[in-house]
Amino acid sequence: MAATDKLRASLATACGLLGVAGVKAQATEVQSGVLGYHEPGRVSAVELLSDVKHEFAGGQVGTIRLVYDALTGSSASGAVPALQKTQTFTSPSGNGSYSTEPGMTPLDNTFHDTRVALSGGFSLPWGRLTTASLGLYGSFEHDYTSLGANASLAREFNRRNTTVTLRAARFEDTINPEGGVPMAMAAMPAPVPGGGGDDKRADDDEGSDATKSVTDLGLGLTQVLGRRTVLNLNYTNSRVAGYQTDPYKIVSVVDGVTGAPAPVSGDPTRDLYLYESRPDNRVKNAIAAELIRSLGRDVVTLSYRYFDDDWGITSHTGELHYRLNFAKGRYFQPNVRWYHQTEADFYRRWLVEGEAPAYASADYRLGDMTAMTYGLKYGTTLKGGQELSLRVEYYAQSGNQPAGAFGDLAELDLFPTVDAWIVNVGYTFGK
Amino acid sequence: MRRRDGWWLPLAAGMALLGGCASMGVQPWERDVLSQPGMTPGEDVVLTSLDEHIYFSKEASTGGLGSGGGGCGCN
Amino acid sequence: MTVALQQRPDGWQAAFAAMASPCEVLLDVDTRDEAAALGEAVAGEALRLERMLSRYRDDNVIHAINHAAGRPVIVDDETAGLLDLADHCFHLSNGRFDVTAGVLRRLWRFDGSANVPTREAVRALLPLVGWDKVTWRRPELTLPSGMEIDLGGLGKEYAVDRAAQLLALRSSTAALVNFGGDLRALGTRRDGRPWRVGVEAPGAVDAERGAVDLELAQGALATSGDSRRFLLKDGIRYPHILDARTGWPVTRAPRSVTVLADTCLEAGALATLAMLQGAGARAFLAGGGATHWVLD
Repeated sequence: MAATDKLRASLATACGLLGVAGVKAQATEVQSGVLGYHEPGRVSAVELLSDVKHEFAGGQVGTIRLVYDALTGSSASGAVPALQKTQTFTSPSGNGSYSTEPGMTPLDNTFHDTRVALSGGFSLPWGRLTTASLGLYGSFEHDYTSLGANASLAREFNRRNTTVTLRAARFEDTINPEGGVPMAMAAMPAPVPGGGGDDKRADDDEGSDATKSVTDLGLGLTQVLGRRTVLNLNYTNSRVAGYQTDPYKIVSVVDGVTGAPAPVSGDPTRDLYLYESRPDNRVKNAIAAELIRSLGRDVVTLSYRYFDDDWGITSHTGELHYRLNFAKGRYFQPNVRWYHQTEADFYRRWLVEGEAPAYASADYRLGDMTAMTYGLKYGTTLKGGQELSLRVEYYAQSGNQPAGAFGDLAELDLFPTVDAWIVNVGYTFGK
Repeated sequence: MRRRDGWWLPLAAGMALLGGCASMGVQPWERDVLSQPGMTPGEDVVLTSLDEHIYFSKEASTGGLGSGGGGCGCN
Repeated sequence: MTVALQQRPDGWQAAFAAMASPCEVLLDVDTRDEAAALGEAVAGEALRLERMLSRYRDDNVIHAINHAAGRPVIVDDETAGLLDLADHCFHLSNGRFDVTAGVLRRLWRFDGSANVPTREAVRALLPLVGWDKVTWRRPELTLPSGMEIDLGGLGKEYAVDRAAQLLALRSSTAALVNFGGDLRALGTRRDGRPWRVGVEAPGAVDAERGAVDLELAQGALATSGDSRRFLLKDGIRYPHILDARTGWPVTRAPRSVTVLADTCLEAGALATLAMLQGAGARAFLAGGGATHWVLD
């Protein structure tokens, strides 16, 4: 006779029914956080997140997460600055307009949005070593809805030293931009004051919605390497099909000689800007590794991610955290993150008059850039066991002047550094 | 720059092989350090989620160490 | 019951005596008051269980069950849970683990002497032993007249788990509950240090050698077998664990079996089941992936 897994499981259940199964039987934990994000002169955002997790006596875990975020401020529209003139742009709704002084990076200041997201998950143990999870997700903004479902399966091996996880997720997004979905690479029209209607920019009568679906597959491996070391590896494959263009971003068209904004043919008083267009399909791959090592009382975490997609973007991300532990649950954790990406194939900082590519985007977030984050986090445990943390970070993105800048363009900063301050407070309580 | 398709296959296979190393690891009673705060990957769900949202909104890359949240109109 | 409080380098210790063992709780608290509050709560729970499971009291459910003379007794939820576990262990051990084997103590007194009973005497008592003769339909228990049950076998382990649960509900303090060697760790201390526990080898009670040192953050340890209670006759050592099917001590059993599990009750049940396998103790535990130490 042997103490097989089955025998042990039945014994654990019998003991569990006596109500002493786990110290955390029927425990609820709430993790919440508030984040403030501020790019001086540009976007500001506030995000609130609350995650409630409940463990049932049988080992099942239910989670509900609520997210709220609000954005205000302005963000680069993609147009290039003009050296000698004031530029005027039509606002996304098509009713109004906004202007940019000479030499300034055009910023779309109609950027404000509120978002609410709700997600829930349920995981249950399947035997002693396997856990299965299912989850649902919904995110709602006035111009964007995302609905999704996910599932995962995790299995432990080698006396729980190895965990393998399989993940799958599917999201269906609907984009309903203000002013309608613009025709790909169409010219930005003149504003129509007092006008209305969603199909201001769209030429098709099929409505002003666009959709996209995302299918994610992931494989994860966590391996205990020693008493003080853990390695976490992960591979993700993501396929996106559908509308991936940013309906609010534009690309400037410039005169091939001067580099100044080219006029709209037929209306020389207005400058020509084209709505950007991105391909309908994108396949992304990412592989990441994280090493956690305990050093005396401190913990150091080093991670690296390599990303590659079929839009021509390749990126490297490296992060280092060092947690300095003090008595009574207090700690300081400085962190640094380095990020570098190469530009998308269709990234064009500007188009020259006469060019008509199928896809083009001047969104700086698709360009060659390097970003650095420096942060410091402080955490402590309160008298009742609750955890409180405060983190301040500085984030800066910079890129080089695109090659081939000519005429006026050569004298302008076409890729200004964008920096942001991030402050975040975290609070965890519950048993 | 383009890599040949399926470049990630050897890496995924390598991960699978690594998982097969039965000799690595610790005994159940040696998990004292591993159970301390900061030693579990993905421990701070709130901060991970908030950070992911920022980087998703400001950069072109997605995916990482396995959290994978949902979509939004941020990018 | 008096609870003695003492501040030690690894925390406050609350000590008391219960269930025929020295009991202690090590608490990662800063003040004597906190240690007193938690220590007294744990001691109170241990005392409650001692009274509930004692065979020598006339005011508990055990007394009611053992003096019902064949009539059914309705038991409370907690007792029902313990009876369910007893029933489960009876089946898992194919009858070796049996809470009705208590009557055999009339013949077996494990005082280190050579008073081994005769085969006839044991055979005469066997009709009063056998969980399969009992009718257990929760919450109603019917014992044939003359039979007795004794739930003390896993009582100490159960008390450790109850104490752990109590501590977890009342505070988020890291603690180590240790009732005479059956123990459970609850979390790492705030400064990051785990609880250090030693598993001793029998026959060398005070010796440093032959002990395994563990550092526990979560989990429980229970030991079956005790080098201090046995009979010795003609060079044969009769350990105090009886095989209920035969009425005799388990043959060729190891001196002690210690098991590590998530709860003390699970650890204790596994250790006892292993011990009851006698020579097969190691083989029994080897298959399950439970960390264990078997000492001969």
